[in-house]
Amino acid sequence: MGLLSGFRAVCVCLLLFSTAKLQAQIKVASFSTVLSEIAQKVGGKNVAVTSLIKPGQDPHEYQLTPGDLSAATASDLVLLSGKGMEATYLHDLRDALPKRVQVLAVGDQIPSLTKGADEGKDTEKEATQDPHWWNSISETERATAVVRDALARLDGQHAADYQAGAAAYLSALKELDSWVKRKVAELPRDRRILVTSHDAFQYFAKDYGFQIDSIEGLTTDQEPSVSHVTAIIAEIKKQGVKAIFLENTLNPKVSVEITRESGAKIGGSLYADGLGPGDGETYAGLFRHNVTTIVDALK
Amino acid sequence: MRGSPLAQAVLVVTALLLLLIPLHRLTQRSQRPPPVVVSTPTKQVHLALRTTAVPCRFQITFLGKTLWAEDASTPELAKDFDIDFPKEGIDLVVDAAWESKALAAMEITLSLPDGTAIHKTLWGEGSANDVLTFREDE
Repeated sequence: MGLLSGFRAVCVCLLLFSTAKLQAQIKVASFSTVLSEIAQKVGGKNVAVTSLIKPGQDPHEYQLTPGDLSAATASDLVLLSGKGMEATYLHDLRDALPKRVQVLAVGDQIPSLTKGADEGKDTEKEATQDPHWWNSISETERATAVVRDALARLDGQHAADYQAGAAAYLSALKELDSWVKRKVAELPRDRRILVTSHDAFQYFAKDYGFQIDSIEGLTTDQEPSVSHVTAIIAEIKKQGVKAIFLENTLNPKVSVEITRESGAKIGGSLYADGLGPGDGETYAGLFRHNVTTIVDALK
Repeated sequence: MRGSPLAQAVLVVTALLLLLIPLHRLTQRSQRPPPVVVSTPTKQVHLALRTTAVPCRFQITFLGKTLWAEDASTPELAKDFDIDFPKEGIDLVVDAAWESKALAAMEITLSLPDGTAIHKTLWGEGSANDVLTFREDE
């Protein structure tokens, strides 16, 4: 009798343990505001997402903190933008994380646009990968598929849920892309010249037929040279560019100076490096804000 | 010079301050230059539409304004337009709706004065819409 009740107790414990395991959420730590949204939309109630880079924060300037490292260590999956965005702290992060934590550099699964070697200005310089893939809706669609597959591998039991979550998000992205195409079509193709604070919109330009002239380089820590600024002013005058754009995370000083010299106006502020306060709290909101600002200012 | 020293000092300071006005105007940055206006060549384009099913309601939008909208009862229509056509090409937003829900297509041919003809086709079941880009170098 005692043996039977002991057996029953073990069975109940096993059942409770397995139920708890079934209900446990996958912990995701994300070093990208856009990836945080994707993980949330795809994962739904099955995941708990911690966004280590906050909306409005410049990811180029981010430094790993002990608190963020603890959050990453406690997670099951760490999502990175990739393409060199986390280069300054990636080595330390990988060293510190236990083996059970999966690290996924989502951007590394997406074809890169590069800058440097292909310009023919400096043959010694290696081409630098442009990390701003989220400024292309089609690349964000790819990223969504990468996150969906990673979650399904990690938690096969809810694979169908992840499939459904991704399908709904992809459908919303398709609708967003359709809206962007129609809005951009209001702008003549010869006026699609985008002068921005730093070089974050190459992927956007590729999708919607823009030419890019950026004041700073691919990262926000590169100060523009005088000759570069002079060349941009000359280009703005030559092409009759009506407006140049600021960014929500950068100092507008040089841009304002360029408007004084060139006759162009400030067209507004763009979300270049991910989600931010205001319109850019969601990816769709960010894109609609950026496109409306650009098209209305350049018309 | 007569008057109290204080009044004289006030007079001198005022005179110096007044001198600052033209000095400031001379040294301040020149006014914002007017933006350069770059003109786009206007061309006469010939648009020809062919639809696989009628009746068909369609609308073609160019730079946010309706260029051509019609309820077509014949499978082929054509019209000429004078529009700005830069070397980068143009985008036409096309919305088409057919009474039939079966798969249908609309072919749009844009012809330029030099004889260049660019063809684009839109497919849909009941309706279709897309932004079509027409470039001379296609």
